[in-house]
Amino acid sequence: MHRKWSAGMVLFAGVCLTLAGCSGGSGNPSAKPPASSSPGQPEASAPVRQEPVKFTVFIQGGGGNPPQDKDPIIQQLNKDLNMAMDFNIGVTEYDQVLTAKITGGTPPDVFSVNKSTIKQFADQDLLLDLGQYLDKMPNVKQAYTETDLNKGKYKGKIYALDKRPTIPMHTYWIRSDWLRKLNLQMPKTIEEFKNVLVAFTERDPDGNGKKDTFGLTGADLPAFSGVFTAFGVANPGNWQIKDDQAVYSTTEPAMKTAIGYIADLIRTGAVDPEVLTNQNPHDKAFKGQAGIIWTNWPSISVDAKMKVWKDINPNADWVQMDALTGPGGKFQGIWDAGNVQGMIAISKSLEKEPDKLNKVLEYLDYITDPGKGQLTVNYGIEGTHYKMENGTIVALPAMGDLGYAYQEQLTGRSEQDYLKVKFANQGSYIEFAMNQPRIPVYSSFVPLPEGAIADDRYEYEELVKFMYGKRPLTQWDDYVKTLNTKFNITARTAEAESALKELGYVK
Amino acid sequence: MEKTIAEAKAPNLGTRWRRNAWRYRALYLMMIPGLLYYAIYVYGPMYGAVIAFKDYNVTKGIFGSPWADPWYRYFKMYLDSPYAWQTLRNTLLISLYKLVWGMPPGIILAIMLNEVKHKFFKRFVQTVSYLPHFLSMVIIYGLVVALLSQTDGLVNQWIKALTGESVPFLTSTDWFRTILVSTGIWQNIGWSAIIYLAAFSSIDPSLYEAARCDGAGRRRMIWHITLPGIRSVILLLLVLRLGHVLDAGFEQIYIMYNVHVYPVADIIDTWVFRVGLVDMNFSLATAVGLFKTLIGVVLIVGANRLAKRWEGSIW
Amino acid sequence: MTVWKDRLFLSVVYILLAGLVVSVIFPLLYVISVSLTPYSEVLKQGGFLVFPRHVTLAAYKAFLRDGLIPHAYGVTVFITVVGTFVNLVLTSLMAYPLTKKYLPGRNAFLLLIVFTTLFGGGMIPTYLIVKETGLLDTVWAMIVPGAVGSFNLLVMKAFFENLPESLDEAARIDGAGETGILLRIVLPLSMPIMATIGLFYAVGHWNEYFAAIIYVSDRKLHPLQVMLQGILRAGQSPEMNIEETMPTISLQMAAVVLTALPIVVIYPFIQKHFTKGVLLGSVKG
Repeated sequence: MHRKWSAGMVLFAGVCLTLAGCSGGSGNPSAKPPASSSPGQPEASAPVRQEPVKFTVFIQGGGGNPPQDKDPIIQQLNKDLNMAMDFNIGVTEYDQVLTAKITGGTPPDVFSVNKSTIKQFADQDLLLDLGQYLDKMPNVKQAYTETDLNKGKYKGKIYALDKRPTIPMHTYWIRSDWLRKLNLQMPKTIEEFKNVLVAFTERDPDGNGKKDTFGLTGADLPAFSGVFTAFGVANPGNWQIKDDQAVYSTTEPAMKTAIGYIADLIRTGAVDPEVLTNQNPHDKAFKGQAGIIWTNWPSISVDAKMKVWKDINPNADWVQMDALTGPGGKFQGIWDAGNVQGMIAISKSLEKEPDKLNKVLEYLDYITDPGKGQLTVNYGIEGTHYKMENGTIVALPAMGDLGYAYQEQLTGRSEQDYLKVKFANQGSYIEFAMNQPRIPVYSSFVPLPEGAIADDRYEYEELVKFMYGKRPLTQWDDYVKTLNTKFNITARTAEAESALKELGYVK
Repeated sequence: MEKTIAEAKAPNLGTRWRRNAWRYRALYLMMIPGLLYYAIYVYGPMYGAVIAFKDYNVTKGIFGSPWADPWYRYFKMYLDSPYAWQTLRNTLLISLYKLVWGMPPGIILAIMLNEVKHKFFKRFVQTVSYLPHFLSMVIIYGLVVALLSQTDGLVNQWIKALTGESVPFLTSTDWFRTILVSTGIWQNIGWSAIIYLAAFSSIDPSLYEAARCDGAGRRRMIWHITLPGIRSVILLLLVLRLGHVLDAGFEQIYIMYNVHVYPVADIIDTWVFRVGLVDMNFSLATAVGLFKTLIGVVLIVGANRLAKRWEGSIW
Repeated sequence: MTVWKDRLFLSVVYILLAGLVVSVIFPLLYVISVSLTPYSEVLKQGGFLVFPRHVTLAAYKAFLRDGLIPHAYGVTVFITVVGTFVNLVLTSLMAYPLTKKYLPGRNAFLLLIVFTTLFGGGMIPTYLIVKETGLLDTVWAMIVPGAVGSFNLLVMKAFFENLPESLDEAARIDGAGETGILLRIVLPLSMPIMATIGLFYAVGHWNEYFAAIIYVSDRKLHPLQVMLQGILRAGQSPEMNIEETMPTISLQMAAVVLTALPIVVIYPFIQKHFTKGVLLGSVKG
């Protein structure tokens, strides 16, 4: 009796396992390419209706997209190009999932990469060298500038296409109503900047009788971007070119002066004490706790955001501040020539599947202007999401549903045209931020550090100690020396120099 | 069948073992699904540990990747890092604080709940105290900031109203570990009490009746009946926990720490994360994992030997 | 004398418990209030919101509008129910034999199990095994690779060991086999621990996230937590875009309430079983 029982239970548990195995086998068809997808003859675009070509795309993004069978953009592209693209967006743990897929032998055909994964995957021979296929993508060839193509280069080969450039968007924003209340002028120099910050802290700009405001807020070191650049140096941790030589911003002499100024500023109490740890600095700004914030125009000036802070305080008036002038000139933050919003690469395995490869290239070309697909990924379907009026694109209300579309613009877009359509009300802010003088940096082109020095804790932590007066500025030279020797900055500068020379930024 | 009897007549160690094994075949049969699971899904992947000694390469796979040069390269990377000593120390300290301050509250809560006779009140407290376990760390940090932020946290508003000063709870090295540990207690007290509450159910109620007849008060009964009744569970959890002495809780620290508190907050895992982030260094992570396991095994074996004295050993 | 002391003692207990309740309720009220309050109102009132003044369900509506969410509930419920069942069957089948000190090889098995609480093979080889066994892109990938939890197994074994040996012997004399003893004596007497371990497993499945992300790419098979994490962590992705609006704190809190609520509601029903152990006394007596 009892033996029968135990046998039964074991059997049951065993069934659980095998069942799992079975359904696993049958539930996994999507990963495999169709066994008989028209072999050979990629050139002969036969008039015969062919099976749609299948391929997979796995992109890193913020999500918010509908399932692909309900995504009008993906559906339209599939129809236009006779393909069946499996388009997925990874929101969390992207790199790990991608590694797992590649390890498991089922790499996506098109996927997001970044500077570090390009290096890793290219070294491991996983990526297709796109240089030899540019001719098959005339739109890409035409739309991408030399600099654009440089961004996806590693060891001289083009392994990735970046999303074509965005434009500079960050500036200091200031409560002009507070300035008026305290009879202050818009600050133009770093000295005036300091005075305004102190006044915002000490002179009760919100008039509630309490000392509950600060001058400056922001998130981490970038909160001081406009200050660093007024001293003529880029934010810590960046590579600049000076006198035709690569230099590292943290170890520049001007950094010492800038940090001295910031330390003084912090000592006055005019800086949000949580400036380095803030997760939502905008909340503080909108609540009226701080009068100046370093941020980009979308965070303050898009209609939804404007409604939030106007709701809280109808008198609040946030305006963009012009670049500050300091000993290093007049600059407002930095602009990285190699700045990317994201890059895509193609799996090397496609070399063996010319049909698929040609379709992927056709697709990427199609979504790059002047390809018709660019309009689709940017604005959706004509008549539904946008309409054409005298050659210009006019948004229809339904375009509001396509907030996720940026993730499907794999090859980027012509930024200004795009913004004019999507942010029609923000034109002046966009223009202002774009035309501010910036210090150019080239950090994105410089190879990443390797091994234990990849940890930037020492550089960051000690810098913060100087800023908060926990380490006297007299020890600054020791700090620079330690960085140069123990943390290989000297060696990395030489590396940076040769990398930038190769790309032609250093002569 | 005959064979077993024959063997029984001439017993030696091997045959006796075999005979016993046959005798308990029903027990082994029961374990087969579980053992299969362990063999395939738990021990199956363990060969992956070799990448601690290799330069892992995705294309070449675990076996094809070249050996690291020297083989202890990734162990050395950790030991040579400027913060090796500090992160090891922080890891141990935070882990021990969490153990010492984290275990008793659950036990105490369970004992207190056990004393409560109002059924509704008991269930209410139990359910409420278990709720925070379901908040993710990001949300808990949000709550901590809303309470303790130096500029607009509720607690600091009170402190400021009373003293005129604010306390930098989240950015001061004096406070960070306290906040870390107390947040952990708050999140887990109700959850960790569950297992002790279950353990109380196996205490023989007649013991309490006997004690009551002897005129023992509640506190004496707790001390002499309740606590000894859950001793084996406490010991089991303690021994298992000691094996994780180098796990100080990565997620919590990673979400809550900041540049101001690195000297007291940076642990081995956060260091690995920062270094590995740049180049997805699986080999380094595995090497550090092996190192932590090694320490854990030593501790767990030692603790088990000690626990044997109080009849609480695992094996 | 003892009565007076006991009363004092009990009062202290009640006060402490009430304190604990308050310390949990207030932060939770904050979570709920924020989820019900418009974002600008949250900022306006500043600091710590305990009671919502302007109630709106906008955050909940925004969350539920996405057709995937109800579906994700279904997936989560499925892996929780089926997964917990598989867990309990496998775990108890393994825990019971391991309580037998005379079982040859017992210590070796236990050592091997304890070792797994300390060390795992890592993501990549585990992924390969899951792939080889054909679980990739199925719900089973979220159930089978975690079929037995070593910690839960050891706890269950410890509880089984607490049962009096005399029961075992009595049953054996009555002619019951091992399976009979497990099913008819050990399990009925172990309801508190089965409920507890079941709860541990169920909560683990309810919070399933990593396995889902790594092993399942089909969004239709993604459980609730994947959606929740997507909401909590959106905006932390390096590809931050101007059109990608950071989820407001109200939306985040609403997501938390929606994901945690069902499993929290279950708990009082499980608590009932903790007292069932009283049975033990009666059997023994």
